[in-house]
Amino acid sequence: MVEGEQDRVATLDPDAQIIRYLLDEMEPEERSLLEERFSQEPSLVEQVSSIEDDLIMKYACSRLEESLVPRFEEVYLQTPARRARVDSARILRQALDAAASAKEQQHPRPVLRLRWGFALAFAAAMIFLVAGLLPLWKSTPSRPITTSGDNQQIAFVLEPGRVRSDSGVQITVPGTTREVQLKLMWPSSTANENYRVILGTPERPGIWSGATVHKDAGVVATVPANVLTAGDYTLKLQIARAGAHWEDVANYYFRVAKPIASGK
Amino acid sequence: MSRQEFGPSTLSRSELLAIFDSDPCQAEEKYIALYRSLTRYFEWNRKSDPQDMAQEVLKRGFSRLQEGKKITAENPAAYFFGIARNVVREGWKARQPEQLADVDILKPPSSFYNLDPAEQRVFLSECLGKLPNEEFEMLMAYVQGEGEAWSRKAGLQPGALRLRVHRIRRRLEELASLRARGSGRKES
Repeated sequence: MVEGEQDRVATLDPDAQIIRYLLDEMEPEERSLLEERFSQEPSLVEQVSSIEDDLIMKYACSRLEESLVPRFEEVYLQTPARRARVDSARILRQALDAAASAKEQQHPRPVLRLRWGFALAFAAAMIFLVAGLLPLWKSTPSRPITTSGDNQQIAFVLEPGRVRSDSGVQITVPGTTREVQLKLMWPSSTANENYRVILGTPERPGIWSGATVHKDAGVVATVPANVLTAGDYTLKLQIARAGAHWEDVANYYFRVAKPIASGK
Repeated sequence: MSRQEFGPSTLSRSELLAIFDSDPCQAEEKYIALYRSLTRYFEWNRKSDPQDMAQEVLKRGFSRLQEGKKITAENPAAYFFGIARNVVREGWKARQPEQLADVDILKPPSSFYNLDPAEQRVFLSECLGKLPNEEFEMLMAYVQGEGEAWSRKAGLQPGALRLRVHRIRRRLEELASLRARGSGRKES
């Protein structure tokens, strides 16, 4: 590598440089220079591995920067070994949720000190409650199954439908909400399958897309609240098939109503 | 280990692994860590058989040691990464399953990623329950996207948190693999 190129590489943000390496976006010379460093400083491999784990976990939790998602999917969902890492990140997340609930049941702590354990136990309880009340929901505006104390995160259950009129529900997203978790009922889903969702409106069919996490008899998509303004939405659920192909499996319809002014 | 697999004047497994550490337990751990790192390296190069390639690197490195060559690098891992780069350059591919038979004696245990998803979940859940509270909460905060707040509270740089989480995950995966082996599960 020429001197100027070495200087340029040395001044780049190391994390960004490693992400470009992981996403196969480096020129061969730059890539070769970085790989040469693996044999000079093996601790760099651990650093790259930790950034890779971080990237994968963000994707599995639908928190990966949107601009990186298409490239990530292209690189990570196409080779079995890398896809296995994505699947394992999802499994770790599910195992953590379950372990947190179990810990909470074994060692209930005072209310003010409860954080994740409480939130998860509460979420689980609410999911069971909602499952029991599911038949009643069709005739009433959908209520969230969980809300965080400050309404920053709110969750709803959606059922698939062929047309908007047979399955559409109405949800209200408070102004303080940052994330909306949509639990999409899809009983045939399994943890070792890869799903993604594409959110759209009649005018704009692809305003947001993201990965999902398998949960119980469905998958959960976490949508940033700022993309959900008042209006009608379609959420398309797709499954990853061999050969970089995404196949539509279900549609979910919902309407976001304007939040009622709280008077605060 | 059978000595004849590397010829009449071969070093034993423990003698070979001693290049990583004089303590046999530490040497074994460092050897497995190197194998995992090499596997990742080949994944980053989009190779379809990263585990076979990692084993090929180890085989070549240990064969050279058997031939009497010395590793001059301060960290033996650096020496093996040099071989790994050559393996990529050559476009090496495993031709026959038996090609790797002569390194079976040094074959690292099967990876956590070879377990099926249901097994991963079961064994991970068991091992998570044994994590110290602080590590469990750190991992939970990180997975929930609250890692930054957790780092501030703990006085850690975000990169340091990421590395700690990575090490916890690696440890969990090793523990889960061990439990899988202990439960009599036949690994692929």
